[in-house]
Amino acid sequence: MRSKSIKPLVLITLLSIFFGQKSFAELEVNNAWVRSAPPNSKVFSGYLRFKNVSANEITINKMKSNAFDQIEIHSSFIEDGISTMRKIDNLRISENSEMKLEPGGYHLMLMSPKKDIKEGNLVELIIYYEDEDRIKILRSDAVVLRNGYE
Amino acid sequence: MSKRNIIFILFILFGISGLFTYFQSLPSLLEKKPTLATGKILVRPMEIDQFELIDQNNAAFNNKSLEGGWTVVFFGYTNCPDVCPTTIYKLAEIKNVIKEKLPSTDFNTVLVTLDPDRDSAKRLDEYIGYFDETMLGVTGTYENIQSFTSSLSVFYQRINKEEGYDFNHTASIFIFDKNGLLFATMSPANTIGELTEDFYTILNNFQ
Ligand SMILES: [Cu+2]
Repeated sequence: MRSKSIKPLVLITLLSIFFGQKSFAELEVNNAWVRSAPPNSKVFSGYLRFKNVSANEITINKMKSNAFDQIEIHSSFIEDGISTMRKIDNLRISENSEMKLEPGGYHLMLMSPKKDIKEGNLVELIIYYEDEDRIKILRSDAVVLRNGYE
Repeated sequence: MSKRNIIFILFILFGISGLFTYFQSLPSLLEKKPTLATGKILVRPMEIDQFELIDQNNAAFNNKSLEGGWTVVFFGYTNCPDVCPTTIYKLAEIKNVIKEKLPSTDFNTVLVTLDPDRDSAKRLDEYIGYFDETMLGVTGTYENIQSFTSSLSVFYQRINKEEGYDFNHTASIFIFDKNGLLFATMSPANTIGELTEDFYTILNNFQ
């Protein structure tokens, strides 16, 4: 009885170590934060730094979260004096380089929160990326802040 | 006349004409306004058409509201999570610096929504109150917002998405002087430091 109950515990511990990992060998996520917003907000923005430490280009294809129905990668930019926002379907990060998602530029657009998003919360980010034609998954947390790592 | 004399006379003539143009342009040189790194000061402050909007407390916001102090106006909508809060934070920071350096300056900031459908006075109160309590959030009817934006040549366009919609819109911020006249425009994409310096230039030279 005793030895049986330990097994799931070991499994959970191993799983949590696996999923709690912030980075695999080739892709790292640093300084991830989501800007907090007033109650009743339907859209949030998130920022982070992707670091591709591999010798290949990496493409971010898709992102998910348990806290939002939908996450997209966007780019805000000014063209001819007009402020514009565009969806980026495939975010490419060249080999051995860093890509910053920061206010007023590339950002995560987190839509339709499934629960209240409050300052200090952790928001789960699941990142699907392509590396040498293989789809890989990276899990990371973003902290909800009024004003983040700037 | 020798060749040498001719050259001498030409030199004198050139000199006189040079001095003449210099003195002629002197008044405009003296009048020259300081330049901004992040935008421009209008050659002459511009009066804008009458407009009638409301703020987050349901109080009137019109031409009279621009008089008495300096006012910074920018355009956006509360469903814009990236650029709008960033600009709000930048302006709040700038306002703090100005308050410290030029305490007697009356310096107000205003967000005018382009999305009256979703941005009621109540929603603006909730939104602005969260980011910067000292800022005004302004809305109104379509027509009234349209007439205010068109008098400032502000462009905006609704972009429909699978779910909901966004706006492309003029990025500039608009600075009104104490008489409620449009005085300068700047681009908020610049850093807080660069923008603060330009605000300081304006407020220091044109109190
Ligand atoms: Cu966006």
